[in-house]
Amino acid sequence: MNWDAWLPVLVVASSLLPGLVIFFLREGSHRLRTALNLAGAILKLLLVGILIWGVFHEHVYESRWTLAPGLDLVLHADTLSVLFVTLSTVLWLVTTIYAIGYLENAPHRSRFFGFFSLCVSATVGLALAGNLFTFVIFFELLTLVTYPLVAHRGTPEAVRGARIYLTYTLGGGMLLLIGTVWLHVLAGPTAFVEGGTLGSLPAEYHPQLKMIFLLLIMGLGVKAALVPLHGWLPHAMVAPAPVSALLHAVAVVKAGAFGIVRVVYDVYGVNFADQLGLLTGLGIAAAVTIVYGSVMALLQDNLKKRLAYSTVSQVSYIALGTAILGPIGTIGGIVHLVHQGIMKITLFFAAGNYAETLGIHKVSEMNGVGRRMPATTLAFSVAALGMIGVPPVAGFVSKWYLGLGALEAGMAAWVMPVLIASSVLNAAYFLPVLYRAWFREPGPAWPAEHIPAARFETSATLLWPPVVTAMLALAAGLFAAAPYSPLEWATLIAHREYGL
Amino acid sequence: MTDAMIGLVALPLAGALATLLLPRSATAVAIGTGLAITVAAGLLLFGVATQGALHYEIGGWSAGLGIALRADGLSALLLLMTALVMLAASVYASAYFSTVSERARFWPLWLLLWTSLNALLLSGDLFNLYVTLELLGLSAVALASLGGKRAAVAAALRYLLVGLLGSMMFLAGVGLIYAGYGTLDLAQLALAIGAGPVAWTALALMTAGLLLKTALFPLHFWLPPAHASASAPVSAVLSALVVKAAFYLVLRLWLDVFANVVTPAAADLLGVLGAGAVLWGSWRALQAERLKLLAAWSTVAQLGYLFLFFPLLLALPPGPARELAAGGLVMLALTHGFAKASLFLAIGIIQQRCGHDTIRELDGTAQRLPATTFAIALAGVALIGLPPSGAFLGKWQLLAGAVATGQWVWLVVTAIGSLLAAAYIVRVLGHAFGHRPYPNLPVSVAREEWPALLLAAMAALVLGLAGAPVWGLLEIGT
Amino acid sequence: MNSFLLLLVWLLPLALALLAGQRYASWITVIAPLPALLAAAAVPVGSSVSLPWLLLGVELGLDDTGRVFLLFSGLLWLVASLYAAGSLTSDHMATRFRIFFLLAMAGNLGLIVAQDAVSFYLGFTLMGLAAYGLIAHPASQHARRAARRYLVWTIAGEMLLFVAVVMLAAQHSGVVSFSVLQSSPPGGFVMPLLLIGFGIKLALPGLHLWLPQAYAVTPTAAVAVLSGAMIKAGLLGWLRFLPPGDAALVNWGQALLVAGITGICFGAIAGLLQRTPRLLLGYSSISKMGVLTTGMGAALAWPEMAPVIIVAVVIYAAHHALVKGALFLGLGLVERDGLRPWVQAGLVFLALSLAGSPLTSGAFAKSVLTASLPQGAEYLLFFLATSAFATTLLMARFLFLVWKQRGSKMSPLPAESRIAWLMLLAIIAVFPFAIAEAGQLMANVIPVFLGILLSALVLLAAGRFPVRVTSRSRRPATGGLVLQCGLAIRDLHCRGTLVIETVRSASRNCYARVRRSVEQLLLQLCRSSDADIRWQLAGGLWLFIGGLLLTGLIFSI
Repeated sequence: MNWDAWLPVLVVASSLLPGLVIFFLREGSHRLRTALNLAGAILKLLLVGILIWGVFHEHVYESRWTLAPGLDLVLHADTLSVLFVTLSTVLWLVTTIYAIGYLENAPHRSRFFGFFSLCVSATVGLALAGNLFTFVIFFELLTLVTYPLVAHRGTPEAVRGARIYLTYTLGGGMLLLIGTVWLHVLAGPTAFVEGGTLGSLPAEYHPQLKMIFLLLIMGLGVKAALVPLHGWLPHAMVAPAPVSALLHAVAVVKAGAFGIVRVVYDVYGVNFADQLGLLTGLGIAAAVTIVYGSVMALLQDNLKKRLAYSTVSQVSYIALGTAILGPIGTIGGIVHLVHQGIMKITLFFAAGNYAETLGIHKVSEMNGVGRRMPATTLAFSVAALGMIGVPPVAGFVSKWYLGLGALEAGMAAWVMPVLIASSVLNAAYFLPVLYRAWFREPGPAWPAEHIPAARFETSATLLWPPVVTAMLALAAGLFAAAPYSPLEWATLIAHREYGL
Repeated sequence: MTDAMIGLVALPLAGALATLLLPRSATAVAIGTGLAITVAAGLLLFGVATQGALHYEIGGWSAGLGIALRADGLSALLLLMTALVMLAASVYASAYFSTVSERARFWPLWLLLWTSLNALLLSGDLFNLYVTLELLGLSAVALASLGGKRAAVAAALRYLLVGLLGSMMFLAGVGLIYAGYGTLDLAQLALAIGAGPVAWTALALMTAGLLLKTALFPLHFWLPPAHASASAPVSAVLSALVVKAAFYLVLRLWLDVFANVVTPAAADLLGVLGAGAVLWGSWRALQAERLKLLAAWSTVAQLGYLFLFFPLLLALPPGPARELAAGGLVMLALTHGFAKASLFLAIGIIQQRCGHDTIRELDGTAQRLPATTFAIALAGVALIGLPPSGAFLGKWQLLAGAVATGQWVWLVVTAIGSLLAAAYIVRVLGHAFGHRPYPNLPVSVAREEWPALLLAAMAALVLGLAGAPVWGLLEIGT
Repeated sequence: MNSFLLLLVWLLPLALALLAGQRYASWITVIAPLPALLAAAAVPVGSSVSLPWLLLGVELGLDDTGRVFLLFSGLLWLVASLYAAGSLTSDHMATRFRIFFLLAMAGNLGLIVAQDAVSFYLGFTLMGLAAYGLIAHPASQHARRAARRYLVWTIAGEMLLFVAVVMLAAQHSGVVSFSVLQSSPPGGFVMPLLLIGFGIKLALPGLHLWLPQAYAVTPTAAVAVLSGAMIKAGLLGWLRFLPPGDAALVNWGQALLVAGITGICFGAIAGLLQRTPRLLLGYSSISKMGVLTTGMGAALAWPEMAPVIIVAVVIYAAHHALVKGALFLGLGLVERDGLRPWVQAGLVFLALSLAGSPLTSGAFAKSVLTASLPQGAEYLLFFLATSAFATTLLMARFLFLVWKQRGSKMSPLPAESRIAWLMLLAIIAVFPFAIAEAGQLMANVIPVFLGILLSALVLLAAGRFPVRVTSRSRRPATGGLVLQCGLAIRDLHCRGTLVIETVRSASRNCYARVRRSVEQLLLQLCRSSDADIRWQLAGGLWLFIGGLLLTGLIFSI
């Protein structure tokens, strides 16, 4: 076996194996667990670095393993998968550090970190999936390994949230599976190929292909939290903060969005999908979700719930970008895949810091928190402003390209109002939080101060991750036009998709 | 390789006798025998894979009079599964039964059951099949009643009656066949048989008997109490293997022997019954209050999936598509065998540790028995049919068959059944993850937990990820 | 070096914002605007620097307009920084203030040197949002409400601008450099979006609702830059985004003219109704922005004259920025220090400057603007004159209010603040002499004189006929025009039914009843003793007279 065929496997294994080992560690072996986690994360980062370089220079990395006749498990690295793999890897590293701090002295750490690593392995596998079959496998695996994470706390609320989560995602997975099987029967193994492969099918298949598209999008839409399939997301926020962070930024929600991108671009082909008239429906679903999520976020007092609804809204930008025909809209959607991830993970880290340090769970308890925890609140502010689309934070770049793409595709008449409405609503639910944090006088005491202010405002492992990701979010916007930036990479993807 | 075939029958029989004679070291003997049988099963599979279908006539007497053993891909696979499940259950049972008297009663019957299972899978003619089926049923009943509790005995008696009824019907069918065609050898029959009243009647009788024994909806009424009241290792084997043996016969008859006789309408009937089993079994599993009942109802449902394949197999043209579907069927059966055995063993652990298996009071199990909970979760993955379990590949083929032949109704049934399965598994896991401040107990005895865990891993990981050879093996027919 | 300096214009304030929490941070705000001043002074016009890797490709540069803007904005920021440096303590509130101050500075100065739409938008947004922090700075319910209102409007404006910028970019296939954008007129909805988007910042009438309250609560140093430098960013936006001298935009120019004239009148009228100097200055800004809007409208409406008009508008903007900033700083001195004679003198000078009396920068700016107006735009002169007249009245009332508000010495300001103010005063006094020709300094004599005359008359009249206050009629010191008018009407109705009677009777042309009513009204006036209410009535009367005057002017054309 040559190196090129092994690299994708190694990328997946670099978190899978540590995860499996961690399951068998004793609760007390803190150092070893941390070492394993970090070693895995850093190794993965190195491997992904090689992958980026290779894919940029058009190397082919592909691993193939036959599960059943005609059904191959294929791991394949193309530009899109590399983008998602990189995002997952970087954010995994950060989240691991955060989780180490967050779960200090909490019970069941081995279980937690074991599943945590498996979760990332599933995400990376999903990113590297080379055909729809492989994608489905990792998609379902992701569902499975995140369930214990959501239920981790074991409170009735957590168990209930996890059950709702699983109900939704397994239902969605079933739809996806049926759609995939159907497509498989119709068109054989559906490898992800830039530009799609289904366009060559005879015209009498078209009605079936539309049905299949509907099934696939509904299946993926559950994870991507498209309205009305989003019901699980606000419940799943009972998970510990690092899990919510990863769930909302990379793993689950993003997996759904990534799947939509894959299906539209690399299975159907965006031009063919447009020809079938499928993009408009997707776009409308995304638009409704964007507005609905924002409105619901406005009504929440629980900080994490507010963030959860914000995710509902923000992730649909990706679907919206996908629904906009033309390379620029595509860039907007794909780059938001990264941007939303970085910003949302920052927000959840910060929310976790508030909860863990001061016992703050509600927006109404946040008065004056900016003075007590300036760095965390600064990170939160940067990310929140980015979500609104304020330059130069990353979110602005996404919105810019989405708007530009919509104008070029002649869809501005409804995309623009949606973008603006969403931005306004984002402002309406984020700015009051910032106002409270920075301008209100703090109350006499915090709800439950766990970590006293010492050298840092909270423990260092909790503090640095949000700061780093906030800086990443800022950098992603500020240096958007620099080489190897998310934007440049998204441009590369779009060019390859459209064969430019 | 024929030695392996003989060994598969002779070893457990000898072991049964040995345990009867040496009650004090019965456990050691039984485990040793189990290991030997597993090796033999492995060798047989290897032999079949390299040399093709095997055939052996004991004492050199040809078919008709003598006893012929035969093994093709399907039976070799099932034999290996039987061996692995039985071995794991044996290891578990060695810890489960604590007193000498219990062991002395258990092991001989256990090895006898193993013997009859192996013999059934290796038999090549209808009469031997009947004999082994009867033997299997009797030893199973005896094992089921071992617990000695009133409920267990009552259930076992019901089980016995059902088993006898089924066997009688099967025997009637066999008699008809012998009267009609003068041979009981499966290979010869397959060539000789043609559509006609005798064949139809015989097939109907035999199938009805087997359906009763395999507890297909609505003939499942006896299964849940019997499986739920037996001791854990016995339940595991009953659910995973014994019902599967009857199903194996249905499969043999319908696809090999009576291939020219069966009609799509009849297959549709089986499909409808299977659908009923899937829906009703899953629904009842969801309602179950005790873990063992849940597992037993789940068995009813899972057997239903297997029958859903029949209408598809008949509708698909012979060729690769059909081979794929058949492979999916076997994969599903294998996965279920491992998974269900694992589930019952795990439930046994919980029952012993917590003193009950009431689902509602399971809170905190994940903390107390992490490995066991993990085993249940893995088995659950296989039962739901999620990747990377073998059941996923099986269901994929089921769905693909349904789509390809346009029989959408099976697709819908499968989807609903899977979601219901997810629901009942999640219900258990939800309680298991529930938080309850238990003191941290010492890690459970590895001997108890490992078998369940390994079986579950087999179902949920190995079969799914390395199961591709199954399709190749199945092409090795008689 | 030049490019480095251009970068430093916005990099330095940003970098210093990081240090704002340090112990000796009170002076860093003073360093921050220095690169801007240096750049305005030393960087040759036409220099540019291109940073293709930054954001979506950033272009910075300096042109003539930018230079003037950079000069007066930098100056104002410097003075305000100096003023703030002394007056702020070193607690967390001060740190927060400094951070937002520096961020707003970076945005304001950055957008001036930006030469592409995205960086301009970046600066504009940064400035707009950071200013929120300045307005919300005082921990009061009042400030919170004002800041929220400001934020709502600002975000609305930014959204409109976002759409406009994206549409412009789409129109030019993704290129956002101003040199490209100005090559063709904006199409479709872009024009209204730009006009409204920047119009919010410029507080066009109807879009001004955020302004008076914001000016009322913001700390002095911040409100100086808010009213002087930041508000002008809207004007710069128009100058940057609208291609000058394009015949396609004539109709839009007319619309701007209407908006501008409305702004002039509205600001003046509403300003006179205010009872606090800060609110009055706010409305005065609205009025003055009306002048700038009128100028911009003229530049669009007479494309061939555009370059000349734009120069005039820019000069007027510079004048207003410095004077308005200085007025607020002076007001701050009064608020904290009490009304000292030299401050009073300074304020009078500034008031005269703003009104445009001869020998001040106001006269210079006005005359340049007047001179630039083309053939056919003579009627605008009326409005410019009206503006000068109205401003004079406004300033008179301002001085009166300041005088009335004098008093308690709360917390004396340190010397730096006073020095800063005097410095600015000196600059305002000197710069017209440095660049203007003698004739330009002698403009505006008549309207200012009339204004002063009328003010004096009103003052005398009010002094003789004070109005009594009833408890019912006390009204909030703040509020928009609509509220103020409503309250004024209520006051008039409740407290002076006779006034209403008078008006009604007069309309019936019954001389005797008029006289009796007036007598009764005067009796009523004589009975009351509160000087404040006198001014209310005086304002109301002026409103009536002014309205008549305006109507006459309009119908005479």
